[in-house]
Amino acid sequence: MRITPALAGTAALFALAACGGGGEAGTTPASENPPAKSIILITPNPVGTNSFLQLGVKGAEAAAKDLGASFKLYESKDPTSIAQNVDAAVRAKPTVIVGISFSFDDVFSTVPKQHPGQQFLQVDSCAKDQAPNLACVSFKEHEAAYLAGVEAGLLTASGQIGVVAALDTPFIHRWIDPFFAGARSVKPEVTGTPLYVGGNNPFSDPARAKSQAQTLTGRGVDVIAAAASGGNQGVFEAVAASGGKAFGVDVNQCAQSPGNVIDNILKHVDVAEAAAIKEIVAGRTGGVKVYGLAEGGVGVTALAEDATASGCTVGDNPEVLAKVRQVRDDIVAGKTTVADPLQG
Amino acid sequence: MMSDRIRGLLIAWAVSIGAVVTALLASLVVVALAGSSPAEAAQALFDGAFGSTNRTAAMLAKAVPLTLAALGWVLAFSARRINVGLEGQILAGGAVAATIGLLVGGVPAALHLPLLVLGGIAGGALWAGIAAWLWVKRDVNEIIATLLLNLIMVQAVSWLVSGPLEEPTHTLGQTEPIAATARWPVLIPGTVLHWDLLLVPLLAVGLSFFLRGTTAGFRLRATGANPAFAAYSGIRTARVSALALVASGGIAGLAGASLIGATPQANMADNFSANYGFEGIVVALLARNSPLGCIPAAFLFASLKQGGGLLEARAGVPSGLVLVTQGLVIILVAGAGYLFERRRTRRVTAKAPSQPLPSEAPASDPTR
Amino acid sequence: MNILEWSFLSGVLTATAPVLLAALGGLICQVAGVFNIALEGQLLWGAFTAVVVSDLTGSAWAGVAGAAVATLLFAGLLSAAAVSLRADPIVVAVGLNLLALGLTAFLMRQIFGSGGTYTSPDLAGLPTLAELGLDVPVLGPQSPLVPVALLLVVAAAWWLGRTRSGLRARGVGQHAEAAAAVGLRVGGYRHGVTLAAGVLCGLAGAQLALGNVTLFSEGMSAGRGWIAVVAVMLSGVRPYRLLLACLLFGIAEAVGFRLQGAGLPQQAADAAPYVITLVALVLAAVAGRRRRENA
Repeated sequence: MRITPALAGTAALFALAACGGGGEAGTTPASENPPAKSIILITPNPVGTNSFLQLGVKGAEAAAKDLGASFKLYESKDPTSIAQNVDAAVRAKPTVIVGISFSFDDVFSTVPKQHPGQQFLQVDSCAKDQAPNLACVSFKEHEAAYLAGVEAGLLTASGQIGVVAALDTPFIHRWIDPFFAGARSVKPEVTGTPLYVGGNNPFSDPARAKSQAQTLTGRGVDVIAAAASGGNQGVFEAVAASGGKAFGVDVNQCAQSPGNVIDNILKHVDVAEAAAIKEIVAGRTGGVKVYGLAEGGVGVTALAEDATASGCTVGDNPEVLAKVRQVRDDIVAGKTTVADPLQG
Repeated sequence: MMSDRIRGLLIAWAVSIGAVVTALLASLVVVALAGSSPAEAAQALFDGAFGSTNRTAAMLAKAVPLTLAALGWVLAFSARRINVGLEGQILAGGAVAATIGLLVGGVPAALHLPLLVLGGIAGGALWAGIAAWLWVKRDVNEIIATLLLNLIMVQAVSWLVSGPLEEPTHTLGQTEPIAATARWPVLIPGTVLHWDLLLVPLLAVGLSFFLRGTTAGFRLRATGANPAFAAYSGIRTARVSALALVASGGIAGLAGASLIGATPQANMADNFSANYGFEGIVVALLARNSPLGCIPAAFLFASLKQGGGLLEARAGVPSGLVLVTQGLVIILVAGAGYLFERRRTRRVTAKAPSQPLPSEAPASDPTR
Repeated sequence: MNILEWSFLSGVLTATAPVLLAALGGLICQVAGVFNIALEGQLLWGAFTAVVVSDLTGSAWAGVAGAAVATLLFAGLLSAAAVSLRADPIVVAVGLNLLALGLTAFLMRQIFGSGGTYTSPDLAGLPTLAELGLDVPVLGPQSPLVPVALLLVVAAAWWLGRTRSGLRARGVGQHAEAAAAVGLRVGGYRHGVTLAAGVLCGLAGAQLALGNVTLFSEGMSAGRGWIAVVAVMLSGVRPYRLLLACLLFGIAEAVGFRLQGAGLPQQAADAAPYVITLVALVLAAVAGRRRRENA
């Protein structure tokens, strides 16, 4: 799942504590003479240390470099300023306007229709009312979670695994159900328990995330996937103390807690976004482009060439690495299908 | 007599403006200490709020819920009720408004928008009504009750947007946009400013007139100023105070309806109240509890909120600084007030204190 | 008792400790008539300063001391505005809560170079009692600040019930004019409790950021200061009741985790303690009214 400080902030309940997002459009002024090809990326929040948005920037920059296009970043201070940034972007007339996240659902269901000559791309969500000049990128996160589950199943000694997730929502179940299913595919007797952080600040409460992880380790769970955004570090601390192991989410978090993180459930936003931009520039516009394992849009660190040097403990288990790659090939080849909890 | 009043008002405004200027200067010193250029930061702050039609419109749009929340506080406070539950009442009003916007279909805008607005008012009033009932009938202090009700409503909204009202794909933790017929129309095309801006002068003038020019308003102020005397002169103080609390919640609920029906996304997400309920208190304080004063105070705070957006992007100053400025304004206004204002010694409570609870604790007595 | 139940109790105690320390600060303020709702901001400030000092010095105890001093200074703002200048403490507290949120976000970027979550190998966390040689169930996995918090409850009860200054502080809270008339320095007592509450919130923040976990993340107080305010309300300014109220929230948090397995929405479990609190307030008020009517 993506690490969204905005969500973390908004979920904070004591509004006093939640007053984070103050401002508005931090637009970088557009240049007067756009070159032949140009890409404008609009974020729903400041990029800052938001690893999800950082990947988005990386992908757009990579695509721009490959295409010889210019690249501009319009950072929105908070989601309410998106519409203004989209207007500014439309006036600059770039080749593609990219928006990241569901925060663009509303703007992108109206603006593309008003500007049929302009190409739009929405990453990680899709406006309901999709115009032909709007392309969308979505991910099969459940495939990556399944692979992580395979590793968990192979590596659990107690046969009990768990997930500490921020909230109990259908979308977040994409990191839970397939994780357990993957584990059972290699060790049918594995039991899986999810617990949710909840509380007043579900996306940024490491203390609660830790105590939930401790509840799990207290019951004998020895492998926990951390899908708690800002709370993940608390999960890592809990498994470190109990001798268990954890999984990170979205980006490589192994270095955050050396020796305690098996692997990460990754979403390669950069890869998928760059590919989608290139497709649009090549004339394949519109539609929903779904990126799963086959397209390299999601994955686990174990699939990387340098998995053994990644700092993730999965690198110490060559047989697990081999099995994961085999399961990946099976999924790509269609021999194994991963159930999507959202289609359930 | 009259000149005394004018002098008092002038001093009061001088204190507010002085506090704002001092807080801004202090923040710029922090910017300089952090190694950024204060001039650049000030320019970014100003441009962020007034640099273009879009930004000014966004600033004005932010001022609407701020003013409404502040007016809610003023109304309850006129009866010396401390409504720290505006945040929860905004959420409650917005939740009802969103439900109406989503589930009621096939009605013309002439009916749907009024329904949304009334639903918002009802939701906020109902949520405040629980606190009012607990206070009148069960002697539960309204500060703690409204605070607790905030917490409960946050969870309720969180449940709504990730459960029964979540959009069909169940991925976003928010509702679909409400029906177009239920939305406030846009005031300036291409901007985020909607016609709900009209509510600001309407309610501010209305509340000002109500408090100063009507019998009911007089009863309310009498209850707040001296409950024992008010009761002695035949005013049913408990009832008046409770109604003030309920009406206060209704105004906050109206702000909630605006945050649903007068935004570009026009849907409900987790914590859409975005702290407006607490910032409204600050606005009211800055306005020294004058309904008309809430308008300029809300514009000032909306400018800070809106302008803060450019701070990080352009001047490299973390936008947490805007919160620092707001916090300083509050502390300075609160602290400086005493230096200029003669201390009043009237008691607060409209009812005899029954528990050693906070608003009865002398040092927290807000009327002093 | 088996190991599972020990770990449950231990979890309850861990969840309770930061809330209890902050609530003790709120309680002594309440005793002397200062309604302190700045606990949330002070707790966050304490957590931040504890992490900064621990990170700089490599010593968790320096972090604890640093948090205590820094939060004492922070509370000085409340003390100056609300006691010296007689501003409304509720309003000043709203300002302090905003200030803490803004300052920690701002300084985090200035000092650590990024927002979000900060942790580092240089950051020393508090040792557990087990590591210090006291390997017993329940208390073993706790930081030394946890028994300190429990002892402070006893100390607060003793101070309020058995000492002259405690009785006088109560007098100041119950009837400031009368207290002043018999020569008590009302302002002095109120300055004292407000500043002491700052120290306690500093300890609470240190426990949260260096005891419960070893990191700082933005807004990590996550409402614990408000729960402390609610606990103070529930306690009727009696320290042992305060302990019970805080344990109630700790248990609710731990039980909430378990209810999740039973198919209840997690939000219902999260809201439950507040609903229970409201009901408890109603019952207490009704009982109080009956007592008065009988008297």
